[in-house]
Amino acid sequence: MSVDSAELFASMLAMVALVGGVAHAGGSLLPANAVGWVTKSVHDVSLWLAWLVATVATAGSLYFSEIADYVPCRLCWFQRICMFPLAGILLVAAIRRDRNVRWYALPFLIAGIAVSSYHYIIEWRPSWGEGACSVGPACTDVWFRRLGFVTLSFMALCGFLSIVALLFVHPKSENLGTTIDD
Amino acid sequence: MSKQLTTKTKTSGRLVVIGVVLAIAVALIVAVLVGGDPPVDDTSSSVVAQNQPVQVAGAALERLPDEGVDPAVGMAAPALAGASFDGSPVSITPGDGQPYMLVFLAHWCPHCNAEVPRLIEWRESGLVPADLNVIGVSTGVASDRPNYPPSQWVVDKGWPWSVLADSANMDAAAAYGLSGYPFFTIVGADGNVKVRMAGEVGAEALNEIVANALAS
Repeated sequence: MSVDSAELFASMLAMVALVGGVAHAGGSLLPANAVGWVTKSVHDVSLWLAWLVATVATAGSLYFSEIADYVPCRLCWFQRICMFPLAGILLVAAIRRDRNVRWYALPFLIAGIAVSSYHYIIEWRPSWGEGACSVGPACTDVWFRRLGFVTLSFMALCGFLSIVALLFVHPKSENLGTTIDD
Repeated sequence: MSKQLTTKTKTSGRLVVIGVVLAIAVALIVAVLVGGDPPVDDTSSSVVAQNQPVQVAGAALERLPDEGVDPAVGMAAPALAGASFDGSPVSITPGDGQPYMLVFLAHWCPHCNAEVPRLIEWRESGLVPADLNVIGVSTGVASDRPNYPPSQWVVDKGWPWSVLADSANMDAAAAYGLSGYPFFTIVGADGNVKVRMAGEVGAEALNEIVANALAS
């Protein structure tokens, strides 16, 4: 697979994760029906899905830096610090079926969302950043922008948001009309 | 009852996993079919050199610190002898009686791309001191980053002054202690460094900085 194809593949996966997360969150607000059944089904495997998102994000990040030679900037490293540990933490949580992992993951998720959001903004508005490009890799540098708006920082943001939805969204119970929290 | 729920849970979970796998497979197929390395158009860069050898004479300036006093102010600026993209000689000879303003630019840097139009506007407004020799230094060239090749980039941006193409080792940038892009160095008529700064500069601020530097 060429780097160009890998960029497109990763961008599409990011969009799937984002749309899936939004749909999961939206579905949890609906009463018990066909859509609610889907949300419940996703909830049943949400820990594994969250681990999958974190792992794919980690693998993708390493591919782009080690194979495609896209040098990570300072903000990229901060996002990596937030995402990489989640791959391990969520694997353990999925095996142990421990939904309380969401509280341990929360600081990483909040920080990751904040950093990736800021990074994405300055990619579009470099003047809002530091005002100068660094001699090393610049955080306002855009290695690629697929589908017109998907960059590496946007993909990271999609990953963090998707994991938040998978860990924190709970579907309503069919019978009791309350949220399910096992 | 509980066994039924467990079975139902497992079934629904498997369906979700199948759905996820299908989504990944579709994305992969689309990416492989649609994606592909874009054709490399290096017809312009194959004729024009993007880097040129640079001869440095004099002591290199210390890297501009991120904050605090610039230790290079008042020091003799190094002389540079090089060439533009087309090979025509370009030299910076501090102390020859004329002041210089060196503008180090990287073609891929968004801040450089924002700054060049401001410099052009500054020139067109007639505010550039008549004796100030403005020279652009193309450095940090990277073929895999936006707006490559820089030889075409400066034409597209309408850069009106001379351009010194830095070496692949960034000898000119290193000699002047470049710390970021864009990087400005104002050298007085006496050959000494008056001011250095990194980052975007507004037209009004630039005007004031240049005036103060040349008056010092």
